Parts: sequence; C-alpha cells; structure tokens
Amino acid sequence: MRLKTAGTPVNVQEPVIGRVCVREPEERSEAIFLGPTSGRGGEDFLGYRGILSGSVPADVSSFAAVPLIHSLREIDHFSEGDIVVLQPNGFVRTLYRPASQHNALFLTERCNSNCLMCSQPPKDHDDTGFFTALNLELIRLMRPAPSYLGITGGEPTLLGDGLFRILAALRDMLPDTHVHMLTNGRAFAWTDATRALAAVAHPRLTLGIPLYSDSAVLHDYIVQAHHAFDQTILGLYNLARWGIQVEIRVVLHRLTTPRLPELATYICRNLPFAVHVALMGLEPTGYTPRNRDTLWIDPANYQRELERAVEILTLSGMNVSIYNSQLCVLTPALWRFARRSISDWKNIYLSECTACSKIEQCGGLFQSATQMHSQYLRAL
Amino acid sequence: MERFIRFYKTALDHIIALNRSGFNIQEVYAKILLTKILTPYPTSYVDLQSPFGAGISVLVYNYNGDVYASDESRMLAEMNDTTFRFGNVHQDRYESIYNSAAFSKYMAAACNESLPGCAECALQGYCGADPVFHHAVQGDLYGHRPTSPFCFKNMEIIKHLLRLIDSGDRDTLRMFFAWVRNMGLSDIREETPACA
Repeated sequence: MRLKTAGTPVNVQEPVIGRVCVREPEERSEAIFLGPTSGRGGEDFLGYRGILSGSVPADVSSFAAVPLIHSLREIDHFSEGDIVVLQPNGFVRTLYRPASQHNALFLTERCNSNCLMCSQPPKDHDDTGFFTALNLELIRLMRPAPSYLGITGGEPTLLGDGLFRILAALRDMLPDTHVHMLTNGRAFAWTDATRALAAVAHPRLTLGIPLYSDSAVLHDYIVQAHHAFDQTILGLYNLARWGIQVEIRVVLHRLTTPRLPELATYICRNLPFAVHVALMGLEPTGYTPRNRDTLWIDPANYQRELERAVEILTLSGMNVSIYNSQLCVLTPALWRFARRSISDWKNIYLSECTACSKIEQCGGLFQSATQMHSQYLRAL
Repeated sequence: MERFIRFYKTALDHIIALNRSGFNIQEVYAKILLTKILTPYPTSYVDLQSPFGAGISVLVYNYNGDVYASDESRMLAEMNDTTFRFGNVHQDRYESIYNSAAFSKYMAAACNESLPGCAECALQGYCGADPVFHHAVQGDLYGHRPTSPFCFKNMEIIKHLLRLIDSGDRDTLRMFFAWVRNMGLSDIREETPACA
C-alpha cells in the first residue's frame, strides 16, 4: 500500500495539510481537491487548501492562488477523506486513512537511542516544531474519530511540551480514541516529565516501552546508549506511580532471545503492573539488514525460549502477545498468542502462503521480509 | 518435628492430587511461602517476616490495657513471663512503647539477616525470625538454629516446595501459581501455553 507519491509543485510555499475530496465538499476550507482539472481554471478552485492532479492543467499559470501539485506519479491510492500533506518539494504524503485501523501520528525523526535493529533510523535535525504543528492540525481534521491511533517516531518525548500539547489535543478532540504511544520511556526517569504526562490525564493512553534484556549491559548495547536500561526502568516505575498504563515490548533477535526466559521472569518480578507484554519478530528494514550478522536468528531456532517466556509470563497472569510471527514457524502451543500485528500498508504473504489453509489466521510478513525470513516457512 | 514433616509432605501430595482431579483446594501455609517464592508481592503473615512482624505489623492489647507483641506473648505473660509486654495503653504513649527497652531488646533479635545461622542461609528471603518462639522454646531471643524446630520446619517445607517447583511437572507449577493468584488449576491451564 502506498503512502507517498510526488508530482510537480506549483505555488506550494509551505506544507499544506487537508482532507482529500473527489466531490465538491460542503466546506472547501479544509479540503484538498483531487481530480481532473481539465476545462477548469484556477479560479474554479478558490477556497480549497490545495489541488492534486494526475495530469497537467491546461492553464497552469491561472492556479497561482491555490497550492497545486500536478503530474502525480500515482493517484489511485488516494480515497475520499484521506488526510494528506502537500510539501513544497512536490511530495504528497498520506497522514491518515479513515478506513484503516493502523493510523499513527509521526512525531519526529529524532531519537535519543540508536537501536541496532531500528526500523526507522533517526535523523539528527530539529523537526520537532514542524511535526508539532502538523500533528495538531492533523488531529483537528480527523473525522470520523478513529477508534485507535498510534503515536510513533523517532522518540516522541523529544517534542517536550509539544508532545503534551498533542496529547491534550487528542484528549479534547478525540476523547474516545485509544492512543498507543511508542517511546523508550527514558524521559520519564525524570519525574517532571512524568508529572506533565499525568497532568494531561488522557483517559485512554498506553505507552509501549521496549525492554530488551534483564541485563542492563545487554539492553544498553542493543539500544546503543549508556544508562538507557536504568532510565527506562526508572521511567516505568514513575509511570506506574502516576497511574499511566504501560506495555512492555521485546524485539526478538539473536541478542535478545537467549535470555528471553530470564527477561520474562524479570518482567513478572519487577514490572507486574505492565498491562501487556508484546514479543515481536524482527522487522527487516532500517538498520536491521545492515546488522544482519549481529541480529539474525531464524525464528524456528528460538521457539524453545519463546515458549518458556510465554509460559513464565502467563503463569504470573501477564497478558502476552506474539507479533510479526508466522504460524508455520511458531510452535502450535503458541498460536493463540499470535496476533495479526503488521500494519496493513506493509503486510504481505509469500507465494508459498497462497496454498496455506491457515492464511486467514496468520499475520503474514513485513513487506521488507521478502529476503529476510525463516527458511522454514511452508503452507500448512 | 520429623514426623510432622513426613505427614506434611504426604498431606501436600494428597492436596495436589485433589487439585489435579478438579477439586480446587489450597494449602495456605504453602501458598504464603509460594507468594514469597514466585511473586514480587509481600504477604501479611507476620511469622515469616524479617524484621519479625509481631510488634511492628500488629500489637495485641490485653483486657487490662497491657500491650504485647503477639498473642503468644500475651500467653507467656499468663505464665508470669512478661518479656514481650511493651507497656500499657492507659499509661504509656505510642512513642514510649516503641522506645521501651523491652521493645529494643526484642527487635535486636528480630531480623534474620543478622541472626546466627540465618544470616548466611540461602532461604532467608522466604523465612522469618521468631524471637517470641525462640525465647519460649529455647530460652533465648536469638535462638539456636541447629536445634530450632522453627528453622527445621521452615527449611524442610521451603526446600520441598522448591523441589516441586523444579521437578519439571507443569501442572504442579500451574497449581502453585493458581494458589498464589486465587484461581483454579483448570483456569490457569487455559491461560498458559499447552506445552508438552
């Protein structure tokens, strides 16, 4: 599924965000017109925030009043109601699809960790002001309200006050939406950050926080940051103390799986307040292919540790899910913990999957896993 | 005490068999120990606390206002041994009770981290100190671990539970967690993977 395309920009001075309209909307002020512009001049589109077109308008010069991106490489992926952003360089990004269950706010490309298996490698330029403003407007435009919304990055807490403004906007404008924020939790080692988050009092907020080992040395190595383990653990305790729901996320690879049962025990003993533990297969994108030798283990070869970890966690009453795993690789005893977790826009099945009788229950693979997946995949 | 331990193990086997057959029944002393062994949560059972819970987690007021560490302490007083009488609620203040010489002497022997025989014991974290018991049975607040029935009983039961946890029998481990979580064996079977 496509979330990005590009065309030729005309009069796009700054990023323009709006709702895609194929038909004439009741109110043009929040709409971006999508469609053929043939036979119409710029004056016919006054009041729109922007215009998207697959072809070149006959009289481009008459469009000076409204930002336009024409000659788009693709337009079929747009649907009525999608929220998109038109960028001065001609890129058009889809930020929100009302029909999808996998929408997320992207808050920043920056991060204070640098995980070996990062699927979204950080970039060190200050985009926080831009993304704060963009997301505040995106939240204002979202309708109908999604039942679920992710928050991702980068590390969202790097937005500082911007994050709390975004969460307050979600609380006020989308009060029934469950919000799930991915964060390394390190910022919450400082109680003023935790207090500020608690003060937002978002009623349906869960923080998904990664913990890769019960050993601080190993965790710090995997996230490539000194003291990260201590900060994350302290952050988890502060969040629990202020009554904020946390989920623990573990990425399964060659460095984390050998001590997975020990990590499970650690979680039961030290973080019993976590509402959910997600044990997640590797996403072979970003840094992962480049660190293949360090990270890769065929998932078939860590099933014993995975099974033991799930047993330890469930005996203690923890809610456990296995993400990003294929049923044919997973031990059958663990099938009922497997979730179809991969976001729709990057979820694929391989050619051998077409003959599989369990394909309806199976979560399939990441699009990026075409080359990097278990050699034991087979039709069931 | 050896006879008791033999009986305890037989009784526990029987209770485990009852649970396996579908009848949910808990052995509560084992449940208290298992909560300490298998979870991060404390129990309110004062006999297995360090510092010993009697006097800290609980005080016993006699009919005449005398304040004791525990009911056992009060019973000793009925036999003219007032070692664990810390004061009288009509005459003393809270501060003077907790600052009394009797209380300080008692508390000095109440932490198994600093008791001979307990300080280096591997099972220390699950066990407790019981100065009242040792005073009554051995005539010494600190007690003598090699001949202490308190020590023998708890060591044997804890070691037996650890052996059962480590036996590899999944249903026994499930049942122990079921006790700790106040649920039935069949309920916890449904929550955990159906491992071979």
